Amino acid sequence: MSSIRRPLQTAWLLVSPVQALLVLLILVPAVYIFILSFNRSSFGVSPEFVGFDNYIAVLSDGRFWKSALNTIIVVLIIVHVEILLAMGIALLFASGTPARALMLAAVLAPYAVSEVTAVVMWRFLFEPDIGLLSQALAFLGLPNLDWAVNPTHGLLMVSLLSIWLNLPFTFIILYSARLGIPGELYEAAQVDGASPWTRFRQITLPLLMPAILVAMLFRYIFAFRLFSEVWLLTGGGPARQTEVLAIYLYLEAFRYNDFGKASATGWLLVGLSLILALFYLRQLQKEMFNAR
Amino acid sequence: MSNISRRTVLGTGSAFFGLSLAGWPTGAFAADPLQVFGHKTHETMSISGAGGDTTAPWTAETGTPIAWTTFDIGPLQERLLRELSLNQTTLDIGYVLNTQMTQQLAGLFEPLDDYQEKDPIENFEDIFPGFVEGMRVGGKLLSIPSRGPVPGLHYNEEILAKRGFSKGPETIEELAEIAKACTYTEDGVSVVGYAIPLNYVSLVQMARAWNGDLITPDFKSVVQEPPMVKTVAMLADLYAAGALPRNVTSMTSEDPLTWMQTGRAAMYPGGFNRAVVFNDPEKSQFPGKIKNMPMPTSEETRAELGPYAPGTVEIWGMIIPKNGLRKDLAWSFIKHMSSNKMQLDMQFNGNATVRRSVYENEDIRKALSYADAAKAALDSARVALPAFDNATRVADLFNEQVHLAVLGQKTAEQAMADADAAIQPLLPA
Repeated sequence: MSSIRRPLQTAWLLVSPVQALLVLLILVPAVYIFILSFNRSSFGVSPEFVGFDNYIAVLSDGRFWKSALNTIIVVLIIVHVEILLAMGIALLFASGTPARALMLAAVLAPYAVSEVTAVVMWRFLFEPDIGLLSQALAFLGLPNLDWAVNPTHGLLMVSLLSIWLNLPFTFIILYSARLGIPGELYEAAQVDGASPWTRFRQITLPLLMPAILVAMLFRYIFAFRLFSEVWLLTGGGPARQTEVLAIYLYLEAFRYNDFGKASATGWLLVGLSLILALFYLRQLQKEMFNAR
Repeated sequence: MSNISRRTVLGTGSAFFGLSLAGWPTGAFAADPLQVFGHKTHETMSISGAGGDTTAPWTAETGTPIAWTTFDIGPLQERLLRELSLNQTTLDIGYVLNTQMTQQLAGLFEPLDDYQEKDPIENFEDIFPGFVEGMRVGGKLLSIPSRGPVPGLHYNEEILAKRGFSKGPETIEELAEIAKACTYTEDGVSVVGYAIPLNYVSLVQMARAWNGDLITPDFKSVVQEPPMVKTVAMLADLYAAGALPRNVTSMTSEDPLTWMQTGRAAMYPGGFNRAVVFNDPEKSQFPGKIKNMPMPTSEETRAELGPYAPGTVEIWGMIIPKNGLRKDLAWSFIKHMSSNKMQLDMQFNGNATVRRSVYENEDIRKALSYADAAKAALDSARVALPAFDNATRVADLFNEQVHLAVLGQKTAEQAMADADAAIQPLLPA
């Protein structure tokens, strides 16, 4: 018995610094924010307990629901388009492509660009009058992307930008998973006369599924925190019509200094992202643990 | 190649750690710098330009260097207030806007009346009285004004001449007419008539043509009254005519500067001190051709108000943290920077002075084409928005409705009625 316990104790001892850091940097602030969400708090005044007032104020604010809807729409577009594109590119690379190293560098390059730089670049490219891509669209007789004044175009532009920036992350996960599928499976299927579509459905997709779920889960969590792309591109405008939840929270906390309402928004944001990710978490649990 | 042993790394690291705890090198050899939180503009206007480094004489006298930490406006306010909320701070000076002079925040700033009484700033009456009043809460002086940019109207005389106008607009109605006439495309270059950042300061400045306001000094919303409704309707009309930039709702306050410097806009309402960069041959494609004037009044109000609308001012001031540790040293810095000489030198560096005598100085009048116009605007200037706890939220709610009206999603009347409904509950009782 003791021989089993000792390695366990050692293991706990070894991971304890990391656990302590997590408690200090994540758990403690999270608890503090939770307590703050039940208080009226700002600069220059002492916190005052107000019960659920902050939650009620946030949930009865139309702007919160508008930004929640915008966030969900953008997140759904970003995550699903990104997965489809990443899977397509991963399969293309796995099937062999000329100048593979160069092509890989091209696909991975956006991940090396900082968000701020990327947004500034896109702002210039899509500047309504003098932007290169705006002019190219006009030259081709296509309608301009009125991202600054049309909320739908604004959210579309944010989605495109975010997909472009984060595609390498999803691609790397799926590509490495695809490379891990043994070639013999495809050879055997080919011998059995399976069509490419059947091979994809019966071999590639099921074996890629755990990696797809992991990628989707991570991207849901990251995308839900979407901030800089929207803030730097449209600032949430015009008239707060492209605002997302992270911007709503930022405004409450750092522009209006209403820390109680901002904390309540933070916890609602966590709850919403959990609800949205729940399906994938359950699937992931089934795929990765129940299968054993 | 020599090997670095673990002992060497640990030893050197420990030595540096120990020295840093002991305060080396800053603590051992020099006085602790005066810690200042401000905007980059405050630093630039204080230390560089034709007026030279205005902080240097103070540093020479006290032996204390200045450590500037600069932020954009929003983060500056947030970071500063966070510092002021601690039990104690090593911060000595902070720059604040007059909109931060609220009852709620007043307790975070050191009252300065006693300092002024014991060790007064020279010729204090020379500072525009309206500026000083804007820095008082409950009768207490909490900040000393240091910068008061008042917006004027800048126009590119080459573009105006090309479209048949020999001078700037005489009325706000003529401004709209010129803006439409100066909207054109030539040789592939599109020019818009009026590059206005759609924020409350610019809007209030335009509404002053009819002597209008957003919130009165006694905290009444007048957003639904004719001056502001006419302003918003005029902007919506200009946008529909293509005379405002197409992306006007997402423009930052800095964007129109580039438009003016590159000849993409014919007119721009903004701080007079912008005339320096607009006419700098290294930064502008139209050096010497971008003129300025105070914002004109309307045809309806000209007889009552005269040719120029009352100015709209936002005042920056210096505060001493209530929880600060070196308040006397901080006051001596404020006193130095507020003196006649330093305000004059800072004006050469591009500041928007708070002293009347600086605009009357002959050297300034010769050097700065806008000195007389800025003084004229300042003589009748009042703040864009009085200070109260929800001022920022009110400004944003107003901007939101302005955007909807300008983009044609609401009429000006409806938008301002909606703004009024949203603003009313946030005003002080």
